[in-house]
Amino acid sequence: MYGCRGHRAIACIGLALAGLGALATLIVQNHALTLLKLSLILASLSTLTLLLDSLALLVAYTTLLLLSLASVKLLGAPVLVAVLAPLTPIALRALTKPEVALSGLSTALASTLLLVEGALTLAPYIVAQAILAVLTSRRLHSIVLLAALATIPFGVTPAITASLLSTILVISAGGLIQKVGCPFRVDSNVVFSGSLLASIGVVALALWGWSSLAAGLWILGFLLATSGVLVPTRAPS
Amino acid sequence: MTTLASKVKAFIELTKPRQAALLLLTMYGAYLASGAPLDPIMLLKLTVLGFTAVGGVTALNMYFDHDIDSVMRRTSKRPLPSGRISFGEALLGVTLMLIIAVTVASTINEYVLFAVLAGLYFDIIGYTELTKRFTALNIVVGSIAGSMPALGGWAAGAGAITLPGVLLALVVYAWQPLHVWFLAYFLEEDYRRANVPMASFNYGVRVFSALTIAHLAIMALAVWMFAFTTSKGYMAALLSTVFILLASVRVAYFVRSPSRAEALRIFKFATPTLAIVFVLVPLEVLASKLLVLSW
Repeated sequence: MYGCRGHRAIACIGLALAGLGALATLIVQNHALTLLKLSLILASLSTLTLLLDSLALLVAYTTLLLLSLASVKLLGAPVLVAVLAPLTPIALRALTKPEVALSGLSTALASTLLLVEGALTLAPYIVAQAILAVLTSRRLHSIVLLAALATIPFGVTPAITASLLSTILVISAGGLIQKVGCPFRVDSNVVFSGSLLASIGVVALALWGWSSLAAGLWILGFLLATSGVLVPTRAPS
Repeated sequence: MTTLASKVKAFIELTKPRQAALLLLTMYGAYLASGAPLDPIMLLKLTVLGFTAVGGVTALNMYFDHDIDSVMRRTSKRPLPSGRISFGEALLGVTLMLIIAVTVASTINEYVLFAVLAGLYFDIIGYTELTKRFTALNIVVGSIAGSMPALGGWAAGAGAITLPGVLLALVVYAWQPLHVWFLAYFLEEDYRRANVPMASFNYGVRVFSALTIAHLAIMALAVWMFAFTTSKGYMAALLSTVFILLASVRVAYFVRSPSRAEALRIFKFATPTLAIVFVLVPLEVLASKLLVLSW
């Protein structure tokens, strides 16, 4: 169980939205690739926000599963990538906090670079945002990281708009949460069940290729893991 | 052995089989309304899918809401608050049920799988976690989950999510405030004790009644649009409109003299208002098929 600040809640909601996006890929066949990319990026940035706070490694685990799936499905990456990638956060557990942050950052950036078209132009921007994030306050870094999302498909102008909107959103949410108290806690058992299912789904995809069952298990795991970090804390009075 | 049996019994109770049965009715109804054949294997698949998906999500909901259940008189004897089943056992059961649901859904098609996972998403994350304890309009989000069995049933029969299927899902969606808000009004003391906001008492009788009637109007519109787009289900549309009008009149009467007893009567009236659509529409579709065959 942990307390939370505004940026953590926003990151959790980001993960939830990423789950919805991933879910939608099942039926929106024409835009499945775009949706999946956006979900991955949103999940990646949200997880990065949590990782920089050295929290919720299990959530990061699920996100890495998602990323490894995408690398297999979208880019035809070697099966080994999908099998080994989920193991990374287990190794990370043994490391100290700054290393966790650095590893998380590297993993998320590498995954993003792998996934997004025009990666060479995107990479310096993301790196600059990430450095800025580390240098500034935690709340600010979550704002800029989430705002960076908008630059990927649409360009600079929407990014500035998104930055402004997310600034307002994060400050409002942060203020609200400080006023009413933390609304979420983590149920590690649910997160573990979800991560396990997602792992099985990804390994199945890696070994036998794309199938509804494997994708379904992966999304089920992802949704369960997400629900495990959004457990309401407000106790009945 | 007795212990295992009692645990299984407690877990089954956790899945609220009676609620699942009503949602199963909408799923079967939507499946048959799509014009799909009475294939026994598909019906068996849908039965397993319905009970595991709806039951699994319901049990997970109760897992997260055990603190609320323990302070509400109506729910304090449920398996988790009363300790008849442990949290670990409940979670294991939920996970197994959802795995079965996903497995069965994936053998039908991806749209059915989508309906199952969307039901989980909207019920657990959208409703239980993000809105139930924070806004009196929580059910507006929660109702999306309740409409997913109908969408899944249609997708199983039609092989895709198309407009008529969405309209049937909309019927279930718009029906739910009538069902939930009047029960919440009847159980106001319980909900207040658990600190769960509800439009029934947070917004006052006039507002929530007006919102209910607005939802009923959407329900009627969806039933008629279904009839127009498929050229089937006119009888169901006509009869359900009568029921919807009766329900609306009762709600309007309730505004003039609200009482717990009347709220309970309206709640009980809600079930047939929905059932009529999902029984009559498939019957009409089957009858039209038989007519074609006889020609």
